[in-house]
Amino acid sequence: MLRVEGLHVYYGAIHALKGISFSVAEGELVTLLGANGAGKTTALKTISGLLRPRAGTVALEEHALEELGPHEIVRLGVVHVPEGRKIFPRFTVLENLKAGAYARRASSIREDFDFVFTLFPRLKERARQMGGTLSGGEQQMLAIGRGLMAKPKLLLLDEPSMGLAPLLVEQIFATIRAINQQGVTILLVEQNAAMALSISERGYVLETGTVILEGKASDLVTSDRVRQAYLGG
Amino acid sequence: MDLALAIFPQVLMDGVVLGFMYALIALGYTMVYGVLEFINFAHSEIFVIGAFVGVEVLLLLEASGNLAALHPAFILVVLLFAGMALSGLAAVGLERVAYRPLRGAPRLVPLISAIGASFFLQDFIRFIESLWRNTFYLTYPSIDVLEKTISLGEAVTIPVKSILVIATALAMLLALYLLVNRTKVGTAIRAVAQDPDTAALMGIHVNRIIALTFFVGGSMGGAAGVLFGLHYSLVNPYAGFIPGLKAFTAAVLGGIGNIPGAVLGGMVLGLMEAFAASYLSILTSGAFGAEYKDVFAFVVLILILIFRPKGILGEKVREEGV
Repeated sequence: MLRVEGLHVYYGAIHALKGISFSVAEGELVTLLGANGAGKTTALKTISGLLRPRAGTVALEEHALEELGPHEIVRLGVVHVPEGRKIFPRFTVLENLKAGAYARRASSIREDFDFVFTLFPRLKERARQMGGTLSGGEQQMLAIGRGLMAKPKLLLLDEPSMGLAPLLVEQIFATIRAINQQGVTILLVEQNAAMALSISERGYVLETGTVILEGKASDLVTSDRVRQAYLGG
Repeated sequence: MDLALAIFPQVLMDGVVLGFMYALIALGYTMVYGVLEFINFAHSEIFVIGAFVGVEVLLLLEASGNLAALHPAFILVVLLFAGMALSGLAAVGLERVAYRPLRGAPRLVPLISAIGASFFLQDFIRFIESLWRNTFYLTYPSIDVLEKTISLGEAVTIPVKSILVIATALAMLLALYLLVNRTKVGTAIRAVAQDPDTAALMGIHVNRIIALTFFVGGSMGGAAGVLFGLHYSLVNPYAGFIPGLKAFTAAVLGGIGNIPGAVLGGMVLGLMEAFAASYLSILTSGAFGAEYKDVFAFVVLILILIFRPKGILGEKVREEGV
């Protein structure tokens, strides 16, 4: 479904991605692991069009995403839930969700509201509250819910567990799993390697802009390198 | 004190008219600041373009003998739409040529570009008018109905001109309110103002929304230009500087980036100015005359900003980070 090949991305003079390649098949849940600054977020931003690659290709089925702007990429069903939630603080919960469905026709979004509210009943209680007044966990639910409102074929999730209490982290990961089982393909970026690998089929490990390891999640969990670097020995 | 009371309604009316004028211009500064965090210092010339479009349409109608023949309401509508359309388009062109290429540059760079664009537009209007009419000081032909007054009781008379400014400004503000708060593009404008990158991830075409914001802000300025011309009659290419500066002040006073703030700031500044112009001399027994009105207005501005640096309705315009 998604095939990234030989991707080079720069921030000014900084060479952030040095020719990485990876792929995600339809229906899969794939994780990108890596320390801070490894290039995980850069990879997602390049897929969703916020960054332009210097070289390399990003193919979604027959579409060449590296030539499109972010507003066009969303319309192809690639939806990016950014790091740090980035909900609109001066929109209510409802307005945030509606913004998520911006690229779609208004008549067809009714049932998606229902779907998001079943997934996150908390959001329904807070529907009229400003986004900026929500707790961190609620903001994360809203960010994922807003992403779902775009009816994604491929959902890019950047650090959904960041800054959340352990109980909430488990809940979020269970939800991600559930969304995947509904047929949404997911590319997940995480620092919480143990959690991420436990729900993923495959994973890639990034280090300073290159893929150093890839394989089935079950193999990665037992690999010495991943254990030492990300799972605390 | 009798005199002070007697002129009160008149002064109030002047202040309200001025206030709406500032409010309409201030919207252009504040909306553009909202989406780009940048002050479009050439907005005062966008306003002047509206004033010149108005006078040109009227002069052409006069020359062709249609000024007296057509219904005044029709003429006013044509005038406003022409002024709004051309000012709006000029603002869009300005963004495209002078600001968009500098989007990633340090903040000072587009600001300097804006000041340059401001000078360029002043002299461009002067150049065109000098070629075309041999002068760049133009006078609005009078429209009879606008010169009339309506009396309310014995003491109070209201010029039709003032009613026109107030009614038009109210209609514009209502339309803008509905556009920004009740439509899909309005949602997009508000989303871009909060976080452009995330807005793009929602499928919003950010550059198009920025251009649209320039168009809407520019057309509000254009409408203000036409109203300014109709109300004060005289226009020249440099006439935008002072109203532009005051409207910018009004936008800061209300809280830059905040749309209701721009209207409130414009009104506060307009009223202060009108009251200072009429009452300073009465209250100080002639020690300070009307010429101190701007000093007074700006002293109040400075005081408000000392105690509320973000303006009356100001809030943090864009959230950074998490």
